[in-house]
Amino acid sequence: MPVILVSSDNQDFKVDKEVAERSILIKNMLEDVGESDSPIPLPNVTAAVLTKVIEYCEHHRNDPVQVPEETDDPRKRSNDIEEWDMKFMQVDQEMLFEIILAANYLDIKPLLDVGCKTVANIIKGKTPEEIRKAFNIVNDFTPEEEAQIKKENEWAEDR
Amino acid sequence: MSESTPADIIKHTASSKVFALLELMDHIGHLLHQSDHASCTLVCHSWNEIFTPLLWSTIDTHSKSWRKIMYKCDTGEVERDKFEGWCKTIFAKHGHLIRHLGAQWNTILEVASLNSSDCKNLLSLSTEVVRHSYVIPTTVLALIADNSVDHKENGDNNNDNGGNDDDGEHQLRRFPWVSEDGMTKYREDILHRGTIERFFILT
Repeated sequence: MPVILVSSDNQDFKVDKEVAERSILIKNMLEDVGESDSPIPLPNVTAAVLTKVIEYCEHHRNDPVQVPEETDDPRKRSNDIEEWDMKFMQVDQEMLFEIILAANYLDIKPLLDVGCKTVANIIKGKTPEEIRKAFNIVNDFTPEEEAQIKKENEWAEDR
Repeated sequence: MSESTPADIIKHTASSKVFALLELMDHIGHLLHQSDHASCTLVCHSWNEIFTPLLWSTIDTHSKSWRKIMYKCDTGEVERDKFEGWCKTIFAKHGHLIRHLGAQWNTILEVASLNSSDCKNLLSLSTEVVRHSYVIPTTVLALIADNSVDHKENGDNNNDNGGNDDDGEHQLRRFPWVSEDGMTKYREDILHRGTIERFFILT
């Protein structure tokens, strides 16, 4: 049975229940409501973002419920993005962060993971200035504060 | 970024929303290496707040960068007093953030134990070789004298990895509660934590 999802900008999306239930939030909602065909409003997700999220859920509709494996090696942790997911995440940066926010709100852990890994990969190996540039962040440190932090971090591993 | 935005609009972008959500930043932070944590602390104030605890959660003085600092001390490039002062300052400031401490040098162990409240959140401690090129505080010496079988001093300690160099040239100094394998970890275990705390009080 299909489920109707309504984006924040009032667009209807008809998706299979199985696909919609990749979102734990929606899954719980559907369980609470029981058999009902009333549309589900998603006031935090725009149509553009919801389109992407549904695309992801469609592709991963048959994935087994993942048990996140803990690994201590951070380098390993963010290098294991599937090829399809990698391509899926090749969007402009604002969309990347929109997807992360939506995955967080809709409680779609694997999508949240891929999003965070993508951001982590952007940060990796960059200097502070390069990170600021990559994300449009304003440096609000005084030169003194910067020097102080550098001194305190002197022990941290070199890149 | 699809288009450049003035600073006042940046606040409302999706990226700034993500950067403001601690749980998401924590998620991202855990995917990064320590060298990246260090860079992230220098990005801006809010990132500094988020990444400083991640940066400090594990201190392993066995790492290349710590060894480099030690090497500078050994060669006199950095004065020992200065090094110790620096250690004390940073441990006093950030010691409470350390969860896992691998202290291979006596100076670090001493600094970490100077004030038991500094490293009060420690979950694991591993000591392998306590470097003897530094003056060992008498309280620690007394502990070792009481409890270790052999505490002879020796010169070289460049290649101490995993504590498996039992070649006589390198005699490990052991604390009473450090077991036979080189890297002994005291994990989230109340008993062990008690031992660590006792150690801190003793020294």
